[in-house]
Amino acid sequence: MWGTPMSGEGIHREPSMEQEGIGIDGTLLALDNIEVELPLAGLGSRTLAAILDYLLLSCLLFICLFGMIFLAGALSLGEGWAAAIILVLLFVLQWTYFFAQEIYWEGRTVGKMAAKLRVVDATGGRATNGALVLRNLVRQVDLLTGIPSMAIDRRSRRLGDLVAGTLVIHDRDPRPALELQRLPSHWGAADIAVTEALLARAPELESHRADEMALRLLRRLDAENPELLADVPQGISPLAALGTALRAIDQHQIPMS
Amino acid sequence: MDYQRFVQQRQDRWRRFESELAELSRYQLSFRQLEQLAFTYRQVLHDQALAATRFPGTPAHRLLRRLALSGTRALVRQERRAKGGIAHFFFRTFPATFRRALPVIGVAVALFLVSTLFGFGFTLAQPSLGLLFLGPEAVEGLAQGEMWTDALVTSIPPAASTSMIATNNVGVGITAFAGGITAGFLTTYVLVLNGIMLGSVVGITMHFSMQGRLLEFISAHGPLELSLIMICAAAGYLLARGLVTAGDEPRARRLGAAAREAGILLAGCLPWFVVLAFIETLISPQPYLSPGFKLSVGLAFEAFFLFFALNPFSPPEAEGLLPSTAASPQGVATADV
Repeated sequence: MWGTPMSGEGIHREPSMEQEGIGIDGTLLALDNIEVELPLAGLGSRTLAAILDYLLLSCLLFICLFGMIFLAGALSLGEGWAAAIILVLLFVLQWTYFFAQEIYWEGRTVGKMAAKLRVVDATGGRATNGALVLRNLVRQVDLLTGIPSMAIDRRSRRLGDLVAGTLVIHDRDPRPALELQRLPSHWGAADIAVTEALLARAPELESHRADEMALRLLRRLDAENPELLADVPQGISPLAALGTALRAIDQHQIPMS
Repeated sequence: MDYQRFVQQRQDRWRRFESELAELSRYQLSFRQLEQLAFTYRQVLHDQALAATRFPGTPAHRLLRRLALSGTRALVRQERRAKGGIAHFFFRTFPATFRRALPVIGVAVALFLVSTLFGFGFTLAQPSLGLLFLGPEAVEGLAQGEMWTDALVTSIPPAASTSMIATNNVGVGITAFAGGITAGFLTTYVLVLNGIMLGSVVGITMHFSMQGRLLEFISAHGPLELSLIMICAAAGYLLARGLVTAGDEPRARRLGAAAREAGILLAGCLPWFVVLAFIETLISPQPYLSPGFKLSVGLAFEAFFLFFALNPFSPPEAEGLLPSTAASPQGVATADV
């Protein structure tokens, strides 16, 4: 029904699933010495987060400065007091911006939230407040040494992370979980992963490319497990047919009880 | 076990763990609930290990890895309970750390003194060095018998100069501390620069025979200010020592222990910077206070600080701190679940 089977090309190949940036040595030993891969954040995403944070910080400093000048005028504070308050405020803002947020948001700043990053300790647990303060006191040195240090270190740590014993990891939900409810019993993990990845990412692909790939999988199903295709209606796109045959369910569209 | 059976049999447990974790951040759990959560966490970890070996890259593996990570973050805590709060910190922890750090503080003091002498000698021989630090206007003022410090009382309102001095000093202190991470180079730079600056300023005022007024100005706040900067620098050197001389230990652990000590030293100094700013604004520049009074204020505060930092009444074997050589459980998960 779907033409001649192809040799399953592209199916047994190891899929490139590691888009979440797993680095070398990026594992932690959890309870019972079980290894969990840590999605360590690399130089790029961390620099992006830092740029966002510094942009926001300079906006805040700016607002603070002009807000206080305006307020001081409105409340007719002496210029001495106004200057004193501005100086202290700017100083406090500059030094507490990062660690106050990281303590309050459990290892995240606004920039890190935008880049979906989080600070954790070396065991993957929540970093202590002391560690969060420490890693940010060293920040001014890291403005110079941070990028080379992150580039050299296998776990992308800057000097502040070395001092405080912290790591920065990606903290994003994986792609919408998609579940295949019916699978050929002999399929291995790579087959499942590739099929799932295709179905989950199909909306992002050009439709003729997605259909082309779905067609290859369908041909293989047709050759190996024709019974799965028995109840697939005729005349729908290969992608829809593949989804129907494997009973693909998007978990995110089912409200959890 | 094939993938589908694995998912079908266990996914209820995974969903339950996910919703329990979400609850953890919203409500205070009872002990029984927490115990249940810890038990499910362990099961999820095991499922995760299975998925990682048997079904890598599958949706179940990704879900499990995410659950394992957020479970670890929620349940594993390395927090060392600080004993006794603020009073305990200032009367026990800080003095104990200060005493242990005395040799390193000695190094910082020596380095500072040497660079002060250097700056002094150099400026006496070559007064133009003073121009570099003070700027031409201040030096011109000196030539006409005016101290640039007079401006601190006449043209800048005291509230402003207090906060300016405090924030500036704290900034220098933190830089000296953080500079330790560059193997001490930046710390040395801060120390030597400040030393040369002081020596040179003394030298240039001497050149114009105004050293008396300078010493009068700095006598009230100088001793304490210099002590604090040198202690912050010593904290930086502690960091540097942890970084450079790891010995038999993993460097990360040694650095972590050093950072804790250095952090205590820095935190113990911070409140004194505020005291300092008040002395520096309210006492130092006032023309109506006698030089003797200023000097005694300076020495009194210095003595008070040293007494506080050395705290001879606190027991010598300070608790709550791991000696840096002791094996600490850092790097090993210590969740008691």
